[in-house]
Amino acid sequence: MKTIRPLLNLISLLCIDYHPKRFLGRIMTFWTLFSNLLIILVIELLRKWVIAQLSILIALSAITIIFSLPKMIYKTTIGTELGFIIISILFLVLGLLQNSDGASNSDLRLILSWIGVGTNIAIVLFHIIVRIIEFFRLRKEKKREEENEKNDWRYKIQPIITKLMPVEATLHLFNMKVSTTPIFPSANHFMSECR
Amino acid sequence: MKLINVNYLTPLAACDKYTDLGQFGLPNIFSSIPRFSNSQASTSSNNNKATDDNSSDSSLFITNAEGGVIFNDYFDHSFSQVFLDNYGGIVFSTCTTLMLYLLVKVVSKCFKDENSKIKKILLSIVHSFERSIIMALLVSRYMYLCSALILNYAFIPLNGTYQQLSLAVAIIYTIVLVFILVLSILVVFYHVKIEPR
Repeated sequence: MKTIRPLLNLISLLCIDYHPKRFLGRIMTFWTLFSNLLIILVIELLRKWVIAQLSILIALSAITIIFSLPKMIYKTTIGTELGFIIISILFLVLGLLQNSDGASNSDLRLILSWIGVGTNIAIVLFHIIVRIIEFFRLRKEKKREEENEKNDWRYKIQPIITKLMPVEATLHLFNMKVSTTPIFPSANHFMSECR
Repeated sequence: MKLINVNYLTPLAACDKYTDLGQFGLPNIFSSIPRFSNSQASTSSNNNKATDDNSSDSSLFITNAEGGVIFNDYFDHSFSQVFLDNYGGIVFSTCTTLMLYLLVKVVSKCFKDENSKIKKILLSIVHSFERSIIMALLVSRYMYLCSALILNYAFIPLNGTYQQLSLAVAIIYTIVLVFILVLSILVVFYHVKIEPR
């Protein structure tokens, strides 16, 4: 495994979107690659069986949603897959209606076609909006962390300095209490103590 | 979705046309090299699965007169049997990126001063190449890659230098694809600390 370890960094870029620290996140990386390969195989090899094609596509999207559901961290994936399921169902209805004649049928097909366009645009817009929101959220989080770090440094080094310096001097250093007594005992006081 | 054999009317067809990025508009320069023949139609006769006759329903794939594999009868969405015809633009851009990467790496080694600003910039470019660009190129058109590979292996076109070169490139890409799939399986069971890029 050690010989392969450097090569695993190659996959890191793929994993980042899928939370690599989680087991499910790493499964999602493999599943995304594998399911896309399956989708292409289904589209190319089952060309004559449209209903079978669309059913498998719906099933694959459903499996992806099931993988994404725990902890609700893959909200974008869920949204996208739901969009694809809607389009697949639309195609299924369009496929069933395409051989039947009638003005009402053609109107319905046209409406379904426009719904398909709307869903496609919604998926693209959804991704753009999520990216923008994520960008601002991460920026805000980063700023908050930086502020916390700035505030925390005094508390982190306080115990170390306390060991090295008298308590009053430490408090004075950290502006915790304005010292009214001299920080260090005077020389006379020290001499009297020694006596 | 546009490849599914359903008559989904003009609005959706137009939407698919404008939202499909294809090969990012990148040129397939391999097909324009002189003495390279780009004969698609002749390839279909080599394979039992393929047929030039559109009316034949017994075959797995249906091809048109030019040798393109038809997926949607209503909108004539077809793909070539030759790998480079479907994916040549991306292969070209990948080759260009690799050449640039090697060039930058060689130039960065020429600078011996470690504190040089130019060397630092060049090294950061090399790192960004290693970390993201090559993988992004491969993954961004992943479905196109899979489709081109499947069609290439379904017909195995070997007529002329262009198609032979195409098969060679397809084999290289298959190895890369299998390698990445195996790595992604290994990653599932082996957690390595991954730093955000």
